[in-house]
Amino acid sequence: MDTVYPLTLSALLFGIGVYGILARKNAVMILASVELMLNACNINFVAFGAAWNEISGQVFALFVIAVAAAEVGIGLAIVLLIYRNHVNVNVDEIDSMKW
Amino acid sequence: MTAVHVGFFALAFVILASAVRMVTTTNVVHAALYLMLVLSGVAGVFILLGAEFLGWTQVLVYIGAIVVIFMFGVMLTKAEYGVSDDIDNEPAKRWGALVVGFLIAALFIAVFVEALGVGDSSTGIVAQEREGTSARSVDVSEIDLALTDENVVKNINVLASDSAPWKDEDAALMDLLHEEGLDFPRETLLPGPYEIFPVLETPEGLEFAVPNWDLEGDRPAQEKSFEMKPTGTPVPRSLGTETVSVPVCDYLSGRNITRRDNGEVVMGEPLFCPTKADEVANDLFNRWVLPFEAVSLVLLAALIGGIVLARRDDPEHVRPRVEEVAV
Repeated sequence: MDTVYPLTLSALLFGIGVYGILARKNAVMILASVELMLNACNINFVAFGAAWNEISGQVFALFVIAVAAAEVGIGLAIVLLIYRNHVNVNVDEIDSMKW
Repeated sequence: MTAVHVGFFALAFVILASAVRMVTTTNVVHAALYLMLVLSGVAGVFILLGAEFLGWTQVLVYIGAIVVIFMFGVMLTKAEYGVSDDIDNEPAKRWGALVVGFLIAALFIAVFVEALGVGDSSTGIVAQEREGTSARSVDVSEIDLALTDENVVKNINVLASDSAPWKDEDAALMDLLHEEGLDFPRETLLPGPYEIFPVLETPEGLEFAVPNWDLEGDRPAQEKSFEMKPTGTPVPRSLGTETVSVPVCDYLSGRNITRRDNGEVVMGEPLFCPTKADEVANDLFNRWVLPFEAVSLVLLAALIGGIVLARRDDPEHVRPRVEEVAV
């Protein structure tokens, strides 16, 4: 398969993820949009790995999956703490660290 | 339009439609379910791209674990079931976000199309075995191996792309042949359906011969019987005289098989047929073992951090001890 097709798919997915991060204010939804962007990166890794007959693309995608799992665990723990202290998780109302 | 293309475009449609719904729906639970659909589609794309191990890892880790964590996050933050009007920014900000997202996607697509071109088959040298045998792609290092191996592949047919006459792999192949002491004039690597480097057997050793190309057209003058012009630099090695095809993995029997010219199929040694998981593991624990350890440390830190963050320290919420309840 032509390498450009999966790369185009990943670019569109990344753009949708960026839109999600900027358009949402619920912190859980923002984390979900980050997952979209990470998946777009993974598609890139695998597509280039397939094009160059190089297995390392898949290894790096595995790393990304592992780091994404850690990120989502920590991120949701933080969101939970914010919910306990602020009762909602809207990122535009969390400004206690604003100077 | 092959079956792979049909499957890919179907998956791409599902992925993009679900992603758009995920970032636009006002129902938080639906958004998590759309995320699951996106992740499943991406797993399918991985499998289509030949990364089966990664595809199923995606199913296990993302769909099995991360979506469940998201569901927990949605429920523990008491998102309203049904439509909620408090999860989106105001429309003006959303239009700005749409512009930014569109620009980023357009930039990436422009870069990829500019760099790779549409319809350009694939990168990397594709060496094909003799007609009637199964083809597999071979990169430069493997050709190097074949040249230095005792069971040398007698003829190396290098497929050149029809569209791009001078590609990097041509230069890479020229460099490789230069290291072998074989210098070809650049004109011998003409764009065409194939380039052939026949091997002549001389008493001193083997010589690579330059085919007599028709320099005006794109095709060799005589497709089948080109004039053998020895380069005069024999390779001083004892090279096999029999044409040996590159072994191909036969996943059904778990062995590598070699198809000879006369149609004879030779079964190779068993267990020399690495699956995708074998290849990933081999690369992971050889080339990338230090990053692997670093990622394991990151996961450990995330585990401890998650426990510390989720602990409830305020005394009002301390649950009564079991013995106090019992009294």
